[in-house]
Amino acid sequence: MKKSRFIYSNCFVYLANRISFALSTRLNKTVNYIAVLTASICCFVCISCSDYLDVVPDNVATMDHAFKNRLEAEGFLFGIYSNIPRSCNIDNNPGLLGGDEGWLIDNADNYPNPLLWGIAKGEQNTQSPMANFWSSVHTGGNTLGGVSMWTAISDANIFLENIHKPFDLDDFERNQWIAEVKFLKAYFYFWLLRMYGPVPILKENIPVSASSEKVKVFRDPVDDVVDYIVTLLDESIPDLPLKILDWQMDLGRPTQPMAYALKAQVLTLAASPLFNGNPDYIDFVDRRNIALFPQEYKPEKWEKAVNALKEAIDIAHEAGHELYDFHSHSFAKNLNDSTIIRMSIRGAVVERWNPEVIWADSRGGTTGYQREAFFGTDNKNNVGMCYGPSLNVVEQFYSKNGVPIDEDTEWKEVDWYALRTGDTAHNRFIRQGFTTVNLHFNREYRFYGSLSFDGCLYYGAGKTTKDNDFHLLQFRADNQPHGFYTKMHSPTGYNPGKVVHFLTTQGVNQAATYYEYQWPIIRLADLYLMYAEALNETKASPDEDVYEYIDKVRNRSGLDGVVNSWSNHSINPNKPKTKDGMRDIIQRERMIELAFEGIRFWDLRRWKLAELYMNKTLRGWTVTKTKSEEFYQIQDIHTLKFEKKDYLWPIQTSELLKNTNLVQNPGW
Amino acid sequence: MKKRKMVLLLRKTLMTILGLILMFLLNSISLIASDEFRYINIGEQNDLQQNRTLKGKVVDENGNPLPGVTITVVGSTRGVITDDDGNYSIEVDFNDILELSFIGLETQRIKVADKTTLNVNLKEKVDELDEVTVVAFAKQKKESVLASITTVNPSELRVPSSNLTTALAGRIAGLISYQTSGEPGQDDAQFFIRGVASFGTGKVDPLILIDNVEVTSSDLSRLHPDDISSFSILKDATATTLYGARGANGVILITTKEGKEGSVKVSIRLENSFSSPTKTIAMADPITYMKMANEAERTRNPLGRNPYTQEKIDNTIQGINPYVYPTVDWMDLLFKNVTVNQRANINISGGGKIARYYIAGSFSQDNGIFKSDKYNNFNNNIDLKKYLIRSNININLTNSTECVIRVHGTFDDYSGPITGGSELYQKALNVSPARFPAYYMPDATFANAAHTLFGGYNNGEYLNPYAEMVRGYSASNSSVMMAQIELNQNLGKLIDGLSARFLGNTMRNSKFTVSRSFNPFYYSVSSFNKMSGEYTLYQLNPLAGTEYLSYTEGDKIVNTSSYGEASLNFNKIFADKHDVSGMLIFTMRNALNGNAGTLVASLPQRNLGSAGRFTYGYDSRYLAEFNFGYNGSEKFDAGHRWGFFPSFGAGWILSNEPFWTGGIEHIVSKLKFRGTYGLVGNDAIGDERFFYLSQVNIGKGSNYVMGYDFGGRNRRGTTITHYANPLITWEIAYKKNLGLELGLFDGKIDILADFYDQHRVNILQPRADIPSTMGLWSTPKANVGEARGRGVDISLDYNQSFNKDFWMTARGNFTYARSEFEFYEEPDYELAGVPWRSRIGHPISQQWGYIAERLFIDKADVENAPRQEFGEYRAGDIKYKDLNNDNVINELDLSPIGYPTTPEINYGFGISTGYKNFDFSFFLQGSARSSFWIDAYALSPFITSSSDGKTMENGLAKFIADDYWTELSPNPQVGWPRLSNYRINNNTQRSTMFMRNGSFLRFKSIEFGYSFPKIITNKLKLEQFRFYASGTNLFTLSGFDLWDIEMGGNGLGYPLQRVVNLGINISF
Repeated sequence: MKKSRFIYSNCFVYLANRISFALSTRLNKTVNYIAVLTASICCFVCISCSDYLDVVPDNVATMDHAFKNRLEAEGFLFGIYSNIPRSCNIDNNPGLLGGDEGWLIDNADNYPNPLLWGIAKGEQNTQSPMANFWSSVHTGGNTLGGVSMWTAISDANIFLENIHKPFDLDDFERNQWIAEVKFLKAYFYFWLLRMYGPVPILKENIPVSASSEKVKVFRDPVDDVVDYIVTLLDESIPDLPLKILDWQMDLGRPTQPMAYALKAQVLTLAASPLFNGNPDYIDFVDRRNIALFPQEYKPEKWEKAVNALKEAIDIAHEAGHELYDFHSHSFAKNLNDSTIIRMSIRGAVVERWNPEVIWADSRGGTTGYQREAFFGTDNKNNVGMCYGPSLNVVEQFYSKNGVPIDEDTEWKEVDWYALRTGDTAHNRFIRQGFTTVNLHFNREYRFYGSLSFDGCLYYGAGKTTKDNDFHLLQFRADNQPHGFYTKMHSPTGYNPGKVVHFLTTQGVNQAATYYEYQWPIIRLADLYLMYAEALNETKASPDEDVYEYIDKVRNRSGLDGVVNSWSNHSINPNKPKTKDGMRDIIQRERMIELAFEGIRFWDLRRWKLAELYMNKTLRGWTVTKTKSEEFYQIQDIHTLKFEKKDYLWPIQTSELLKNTNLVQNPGW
Repeated sequence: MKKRKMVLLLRKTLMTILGLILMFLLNSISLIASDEFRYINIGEQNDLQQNRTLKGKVVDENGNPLPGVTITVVGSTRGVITDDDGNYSIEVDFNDILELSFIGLETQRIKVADKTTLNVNLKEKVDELDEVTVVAFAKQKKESVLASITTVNPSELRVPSSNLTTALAGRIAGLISYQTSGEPGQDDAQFFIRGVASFGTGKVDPLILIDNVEVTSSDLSRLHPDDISSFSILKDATATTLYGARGANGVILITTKEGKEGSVKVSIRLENSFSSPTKTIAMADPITYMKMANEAERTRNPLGRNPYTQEKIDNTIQGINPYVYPTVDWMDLLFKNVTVNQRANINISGGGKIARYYIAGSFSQDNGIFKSDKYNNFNNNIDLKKYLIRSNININLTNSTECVIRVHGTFDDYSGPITGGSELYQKALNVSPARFPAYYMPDATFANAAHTLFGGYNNGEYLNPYAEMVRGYSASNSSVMMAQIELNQNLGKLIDGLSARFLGNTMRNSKFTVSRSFNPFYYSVSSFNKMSGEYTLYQLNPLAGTEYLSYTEGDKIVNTSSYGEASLNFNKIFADKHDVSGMLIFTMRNALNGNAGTLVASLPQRNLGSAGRFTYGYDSRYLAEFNFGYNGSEKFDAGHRWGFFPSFGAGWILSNEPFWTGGIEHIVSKLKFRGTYGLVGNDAIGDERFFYLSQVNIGKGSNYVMGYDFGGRNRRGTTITHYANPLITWEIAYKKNLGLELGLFDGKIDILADFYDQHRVNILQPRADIPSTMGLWSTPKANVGEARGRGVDISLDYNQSFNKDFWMTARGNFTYARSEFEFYEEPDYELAGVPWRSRIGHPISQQWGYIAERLFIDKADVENAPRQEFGEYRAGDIKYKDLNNDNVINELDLSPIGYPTTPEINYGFGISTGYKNFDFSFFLQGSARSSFWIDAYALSPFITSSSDGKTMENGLAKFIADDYWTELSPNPQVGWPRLSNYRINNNTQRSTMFMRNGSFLRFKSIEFGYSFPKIITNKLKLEQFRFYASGTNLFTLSGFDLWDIEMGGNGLGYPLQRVVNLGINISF
């Protein structure tokens, strides 16, 4: 309408002009000039009506268009999903390389130091915190590996405020999407809670035009944040499916088992020593003088966790989740049991959508981590293999009797670091005739399933079907596939083979091909062990209920139950009988079972044990040497440093300047 | 469907408008022309009494007789022409009036009365520019100008360079200018009128108008000084307010020459110049490089492996074999010392009563300083050819109607290295001098290889700058076409003093780039026989290399702009005392971009405005002026689209007062006070096109994938580029100016001084207090910032002719411009206990950095000092000062350090003198009160970095090798911290450690000329024949000697050039 009027108005000017021209031929000169000039100026004035400046057509995309129909709204939903931190990414998840499980080669060739490794090296700071999940690149911040959880939460709120709009979205799907977004919002808050403790709760978005005072939010106490996350999950559960029906299209969408599992994780975190009456934080108050941490230890928080975990496990079973067993794999038919057990341990992580996986990151993205962990078989430079688990972790795995090697009665006389040559009895794991050390003999299956070491036999990389034809891996300076001096090798003499898919291969003189898999964010064994942990905390002394779920996990790895293992093989046979002893056992069981999955990092914080573990010196073999006697000399790699302040993340200084109502975490 | 309609509608609208404009122009022409042609009709007979004969002689100013002068009796057709000796005789009556006219000379009318002989002296037409000043949309009598305007004699802008912008520094009071690169095609200088007075992200440099049309600074750079008729800088509100929306940062107003009545005049200028870098950074020798590279590894990692073995170092020292143990001076290998450039320029002008023309053409060729490879048959050096054609035609359609057609085209043909000159220059400094040679002599195996055997390392991914340079070339061609029609109609017949003007213009730009290159084969030595001196080679990248060229297409740029204006002018003096003038003008501009990239960016950019000027002068003593601009910009919401910008001025010419006598009028021959106050706007305040609309990118965000094998649902999210804010509007400058004009000793000395104060409000600024918890996708902006600029511009001219052979002029100018943050939305630093973080009261380009105390002495020193939060640091690294005493060094300890990066003072001084046929001139230019920072990251030796798949190793500058921290002699006061072969963030923070004073005084130019005497030129039928030699950037005084100080921290870029030039100027 508007436009056509403009045309008319121009036509008028045009006509006026023509008339004046016509007149001018008749009238005298003076009138002429006046007419022409007036008309001309009229024209310019007329054009100057603001229509000329209305250059923006309708239908330029605005926020409204994002919710016009189902398809656009689905895009927005997926945008919210994309904020899920990549748990398998060494540059996103500080749990992978930020802790004490292993170390890397400094400035490996063609492989810049991963950003978040700096956290392990003690370089965390307030100026530009690493893994900064608080700030946002969109508003000029520097996230250094983090993802802005606040943008994610704000997007979730936008979605919830607008999802009634699409005209072609049916109620069933709408409700499911709303439930999914609530689940995601809960997960985003879970990340914030785990890292920062008390954080502001933003149930709805503050308008962009809000005053400076309105936007300066306060941090909310830990318990309130936990309650809010639980509320979100409780709201989401009824509208989530029990399991995904269309595997090809929809695997990765939230299900009821996922929501229950996340809720259980959150409540376990809240019950754990870091957040449950932690005396270090008693005095930590915000600018309103409100205590941000619970003032006292509340055992009933463990009760809540137990209930939630039981619920989560039950619903997971109902949905068909179970511990993974490699027997079901097509490769398994010619393999013997020892290989199959090893591969069950590995497969629980790397096998796509195996039944143990409750939630996996359906984007994949494991290449980076696999690259660091993969012992390449050729000299092409896209193999990193620079990640070396430390001897501390290597020693932590149990003996074949399922107890710690320093407790095992059979290991009393054994010199762990003495040389020993591979024999027939161990030829499933160590090349016969290859000289290595005692430490590599007589260990549990999870040791062989999780680690690559000097002289080990490696399943995969093209050798997957014959039991007696595995790759021999060697870590000495002269036998590295790259030649040692390329600065691409393990700094300790080990690689975490567990996280490398067995179909990841490398041909002669070729680049490696990484077989992508969906990284498990939550798997059933994690829940089992968490359940055992929580139950143990609620009871005066451990009983069968506590043993049941930890033993399930041990049995899958070919180990006897806790009670039997300890009473038969340990120098502390009664350890599983006491609450403290059992806590110790469960914690170690978690560190072994979930090794290299980025969980130990968070567990040690939750248990307040990081100060103990992360002030140790990491050790490894003398990897620059070639002879056995010289290679198997222990060398110190790095002495870690962990202070009380490191339990919680620092908030970037610039954020505190912008919002003076925020308080920094203690110690930073 | 709807969209297509819209497009159609838009197009129709546009067509209508253009059609209308054309209509008017044609109308006016045809109408006026037909009228006037009727009016001029020659040949009618008249019966007149011829009662006597008048005789006389017509001579020129020098007394030479003028043959061929037309003498007519006004109102009749009677006329005669003077003979060879200038004599004439004509029959006249007592009441007759004679009109004497001659092409190029001032026409005279003389009453006959009772004269019987009449000898007439005809004067040359005076160049009107000496009398008037070019102001916004018009010309004003120099005397009556109240605005602060600096005009420059275009000949002063003539420097031996094909880039006009390089001539501006120090020449013009009120202009701050500096140049940071000498690369042909990339060497435009930065310039700001009265400094940078805003801190918005939008336009802060001046509006440039050539013949009333807005152009870019690169269009300005291509302008030839010989073609310029006037060059003015408009500074205060009165001068710029008419440009409303666009004038806040000042205006550079240029008009090109027009033809003058007279016979054809040709002027030719030929120049040949020798160009070489003013100063290049000195690099350390290869042996030192290797030793220090080893040290850099071991000082950080004692267990590390030396990158260069002792054997290699020893053999290199002995000079065993230059291919196996190379020592490469990459700079010498890549760069020439001198390059030769040519420029030619010709202009032809002339015309008669009806039409006048000015036609100019120029050609320049600028070469880079890169060498070429003997194996290539293409030239990889920079070769920039520029062509320019200009034609300005003025046609008197009638006695009162003038039509001006201006057409010009500039065409650039560029060919140069693949990566561009600056980058290549930098790459030559990003390589080890000892790792591999530039190329190998073939061994037995590769004796027949048809390609150059380039040196390389590892898999051939290490950068070999020589290979980078010779592996191909990139060519780009660009053209700018401009066509303009202007119509001036004198309406004196209607109302005395009234005139009208119409102007229509369009500009078309286009550019495309292609590059052609091969992938070099890299080689390394596989074995070397020390006895025989023979080596064998192996290929590092047998699969990747090619011997043939491949082709890549680059950017294609096309854009157009069109502009129209119509104005009415009135100018009249009443009763000899009341000088009144008025002007009303309407303007419209439309610009389109052919490859905008997004829908929103593709929409036309428009600006619409009307403006006016009203002046009143009483008896050339008291002056008053009112100006306004009323502008609309499509960027803003309809409610905030229009801005009104008025300004006022008043002046008093004391020296015209009747009491200014008694001798003082010879000492102080001119004394004028003037003051102005007004508002000017700026709509180019940010990158966004439409502030009132939100900009969301649906389906352009990150994606998420579902499904069993990454093949299920896969959608992208929505991102928000910015949030709608209908309140955003004009940035406005409130400008005050006080001026003083002083002429001393009968005009021998001219002093012009201006004092100004401007307050810039509504500066668009990102909201500083939006915390991340808001979860926004972009930081909202608001018109909240305020800045204040203050300063002085003074210029001084001195002209003296001592006798008829010896003359001298001297010119000096001084500019002081300081701009400060008046209001800046920022966190409450006072509350946070760090008041030194606040920007308010500091200059706009002030830098914040850490105060470097010294280097750490030892481990204990490190442990006892406050924690520094920039990653690894140890003894020998930089220790910063803990300003807030919180025992942590982080951003709270940032404080303002040094001067701003834009110099606050620019000045220049020059003398021109001539004796007989010799002339000599020189010019000094200086800059003060600025700081710059050495780029510590780019200069950190041995650091490897990666770009385009190439691994680069930073070279070792000699000044570092001469003065750095070592473990053996841990001196905490040396010039460079502990070595490292990876980036130490702690040491690359902006700090006082790498801060340097940017002040300098440069011997900018010198010129020596000789004109052949008249006796010779007359024989050759020439008017002028002059030889000259000139030089620029001959030497510089400053406290910094690592590279040319004007380049600031960018010392690794393409260096500024010192030019020695020879030229001839012939005119006839």
